[in-house]
Amino acid sequence: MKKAKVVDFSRGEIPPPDGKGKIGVVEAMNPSDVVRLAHVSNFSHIVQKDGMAFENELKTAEAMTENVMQFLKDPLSVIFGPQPDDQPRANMYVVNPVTEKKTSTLDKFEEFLKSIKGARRIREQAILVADELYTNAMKIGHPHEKMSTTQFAREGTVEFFAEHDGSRLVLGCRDSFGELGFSQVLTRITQCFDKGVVHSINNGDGGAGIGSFMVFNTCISYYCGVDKGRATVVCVALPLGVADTDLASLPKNIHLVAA
Amino acid sequence: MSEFKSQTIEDSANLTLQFSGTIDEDVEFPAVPAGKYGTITLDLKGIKAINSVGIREWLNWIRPLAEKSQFVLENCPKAMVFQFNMVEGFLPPQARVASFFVPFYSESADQEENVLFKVGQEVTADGGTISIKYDPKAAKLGGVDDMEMDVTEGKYFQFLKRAT
Repeated sequence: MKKAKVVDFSRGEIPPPDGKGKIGVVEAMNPSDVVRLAHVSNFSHIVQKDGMAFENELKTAEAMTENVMQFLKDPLSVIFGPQPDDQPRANMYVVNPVTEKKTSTLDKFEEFLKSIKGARRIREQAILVADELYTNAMKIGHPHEKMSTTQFAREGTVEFFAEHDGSRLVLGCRDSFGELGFSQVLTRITQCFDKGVVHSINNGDGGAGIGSFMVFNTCISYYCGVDKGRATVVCVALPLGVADTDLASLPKNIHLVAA
Repeated sequence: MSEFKSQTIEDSANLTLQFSGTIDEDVEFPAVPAGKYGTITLDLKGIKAINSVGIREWLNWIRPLAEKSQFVLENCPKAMVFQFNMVEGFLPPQARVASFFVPFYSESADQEENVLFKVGQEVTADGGTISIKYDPKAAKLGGVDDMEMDVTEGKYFQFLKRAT
């Protein structure tokens, strides 16, 4: 088990030449700089001191680095901790073959959202994030065709999960392909910050290339784990009870780990 | 999440399109000949959600049409207003938002209401100044007296500064 090293940038600590597996602690850093720092420094985690649930984010970063496989297997228990026996946290879990359309899963998620106090303010954004994450996972399973057809679809599964603890809602997807590249994701997000969404759109086949930005822009924490060729987990945290229009400006954390 | 649908109402010079459902990778916007209509009105009341591929399809559809016709957007739901504010260029410069929904919430009754704000009536935009002319108490919204706007005013109405 690897022990995660914490480098506190906000105290002027000098970053080591290779940030892989390390946690960078920052303060009052705007979202685009968080992504840039993760990309340039190669740090596995950038955690904001002034962000929501800082201590918890730091613990999550340590746990993700120290036990990547546990995160890939059960991301919610790593982010929230084990389910308490007396008052279990409300959650939902769906597993589908990659050929299954997203509609019924997103409908279930919409119903789940309705049951959460404080979620009404982030409803549209949460649905957008769920759609982006699920669609991305499905796309990998349909490399040569529209997702409405299944003739050339690969064999695999998409799992969708969501859970909340009253102050944060975490939702995400796990696919059975393990093909996500961190550098590509960070480049796309940075491009949207630099050039704007419209000028970053990919007009070719496949995705629009702006989905990762839309997800990152909406969340307070972006968690990603890859076991190459086996699994990708992407999940995010959204704050409950916060005005939807404030989401983009809230301090953001990023966590990227590979098995 | 429901399938995208479009209904067409046409008169000699103007076209009204009523959209409903989800704007995503399966969307098929109606074919409209560029320049045929002086004004194209989009009624977006039934739109439930839009994703990133939907944004691309929307832009590819609306931008060439908006160069030759005036666009008026009516009954815009919160999911669309969110994109107006987040994606610069989502609203073409030639498009005007005529009305949109604003969420209100009562803590005591745990009740939500969406109020249609018509630009020029419930809300006005004079250059960079937005003025709200709607009082939920006076309107007895939802039959309770503690309804409050459930969005951050300065941010939710931001698109009006460039789209009226």
